[in-house]
Amino acid sequence: MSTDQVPVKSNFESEYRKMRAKRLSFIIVCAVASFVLAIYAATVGSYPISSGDVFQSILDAILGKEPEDQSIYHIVINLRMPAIITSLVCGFALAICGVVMQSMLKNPLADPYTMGISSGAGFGAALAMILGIELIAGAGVILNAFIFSLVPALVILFLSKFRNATPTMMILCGIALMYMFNAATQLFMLIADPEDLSAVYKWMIGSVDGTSMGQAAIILVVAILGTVYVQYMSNQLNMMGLGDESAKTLGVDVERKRLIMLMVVTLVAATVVSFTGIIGFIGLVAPHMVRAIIGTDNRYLIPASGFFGAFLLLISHLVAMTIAEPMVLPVGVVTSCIGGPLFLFLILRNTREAWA
Amino acid sequence: MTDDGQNRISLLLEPRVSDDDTPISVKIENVTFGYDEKIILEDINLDITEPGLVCILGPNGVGKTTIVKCINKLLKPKEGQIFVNGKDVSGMSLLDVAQILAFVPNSQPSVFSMSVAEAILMGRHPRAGWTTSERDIKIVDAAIELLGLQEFASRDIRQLSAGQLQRVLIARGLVQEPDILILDEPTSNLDVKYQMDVMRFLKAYARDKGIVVLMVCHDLNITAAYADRVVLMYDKKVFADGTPVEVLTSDNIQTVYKVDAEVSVYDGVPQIRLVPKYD
Repeated sequence: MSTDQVPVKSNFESEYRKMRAKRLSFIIVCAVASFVLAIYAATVGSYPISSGDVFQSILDAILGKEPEDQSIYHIVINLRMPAIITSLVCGFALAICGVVMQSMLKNPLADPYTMGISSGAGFGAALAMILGIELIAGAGVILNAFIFSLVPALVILFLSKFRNATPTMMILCGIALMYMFNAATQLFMLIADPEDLSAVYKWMIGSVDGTSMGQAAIILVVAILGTVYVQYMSNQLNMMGLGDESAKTLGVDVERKRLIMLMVVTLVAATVVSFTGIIGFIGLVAPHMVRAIIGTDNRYLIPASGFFGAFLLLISHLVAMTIAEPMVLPVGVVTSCIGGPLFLFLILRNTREAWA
Repeated sequence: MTDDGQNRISLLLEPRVSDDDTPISVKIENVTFGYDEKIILEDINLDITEPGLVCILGPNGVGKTTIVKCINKLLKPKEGQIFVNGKDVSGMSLLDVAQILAFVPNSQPSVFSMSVAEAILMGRHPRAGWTTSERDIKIVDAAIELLGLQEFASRDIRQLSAGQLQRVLIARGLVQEPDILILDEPTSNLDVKYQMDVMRFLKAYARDKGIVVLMVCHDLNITAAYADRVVLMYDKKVFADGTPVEVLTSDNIQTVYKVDAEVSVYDGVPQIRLVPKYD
């Protein structure tokens, strides 16, 4: 408390270095593991392909060379890679949306589900599939889902004109819209014929198999732009974790920045969900798991959760493909089946960390 | 202590250097604040130009915290202007304000786990931005040592007692290297020893650094013992303003708090004995 007594030395300096090394290595490990798993995933399927051939095919595709074996190239690049890349990109994007939503709303339950994004998308998809109503003619399910998944964020934006959009208000707003969308979707499903019903149902579970390389590229571009922005904002996100008042006195324009960030992550989540359907668990749980390992500093937590989410979704995709061969399960089932128990285990095992 | 440790601590204790030689000042001009019809502050004027420990006293609900929150832009006055180092705060961004003013709240909620040292590091944000430099980390170490927080520097901030948290929040305010440090009842959860320690520390800190430490207080005797200047508030207004001896008189205390008090001055410090009433 005063300078005259000899204090014990504080060692934050060395602690911080150690922490940074740990955080960076975690990010690198997750990134490398995702890459290796992606190569392995391309070897798995009804027609076995060696990892060397996979590597060669990818190289050929990148360099634009004429492949030696056309059929292997076709299987790897055209049949297997779209789902693999979609898994990686969507896992990354969903996890990042989860981190940002949880941090900025200071709520461990925030994710694309609780913010109403997924339900909005589900409603839009059902509208197209069951009633045949397309907001933009010919664009169908994807655009419908995309547009309706933006509704909760737009409602929050609208409400914030009249009063301050507090985190609690945002979450409650998301949940209210979630119920409304779900009720409407269920109503549609009651009157749907069995074929449409099955299609909607499958869509609701979420899957990475249906996407093309072009669609994966769209998700990738949106995810990259979103990631760059939230990474730039990550330190301000840290301040928000201290409460609005403290964040303001540390120089963060909380209300404005929170709305902008909400819009950005909503766009990213909406893009993912409209192409893949509702993939649960990744956005909620990946950030919590990573937080338990490397702490809450969003500058590291955002990329780490992203790569971890990519790895998780890809491994779920692998399980979904292989566990009930030759049937391929929707990946959403697997993420929830693996995720639920894993989450419970983490909560029970880890008493001192991340859960409020 | 090692040389390194001494050097680090001096990072926080070096006298304030201003970039453009602006003298420190807080000027409140005809400020009125209220919610809808309810007026909380009415036509407040206050001018602080001397470095030192300035304490704001007054009964509950008189608007002490409201004043300091107007100064750091957490609240917006209905009328009047506030100048900090000569600049009108209404025209400054929150980041500009945060580079001059640090605010130490009374408490703080935290949802996710965070170590004490990391929480203190957050105080560097207005100066450091996105990155964390070697100097930022050294200053955090210095603050931890200055406030004697070594014991729980790596602990989760949510596991601290209210008193420990208050010292952590003070440390966060210090690493912000402010010209004006504002504290909202920083000693309310501390026991007597720490109350005295914190007040002694803040007084010395204000003097050595040459900065203004402005705090909202409760305890009359502790304020009397340490404050360089006391601002006593009553009925939405500044009732008295001056040295502890000038302000803390039995008449003033009677008027403002409605309690009888006997005040005697020892060594230039008023000592206040509140006279209890029994039914």
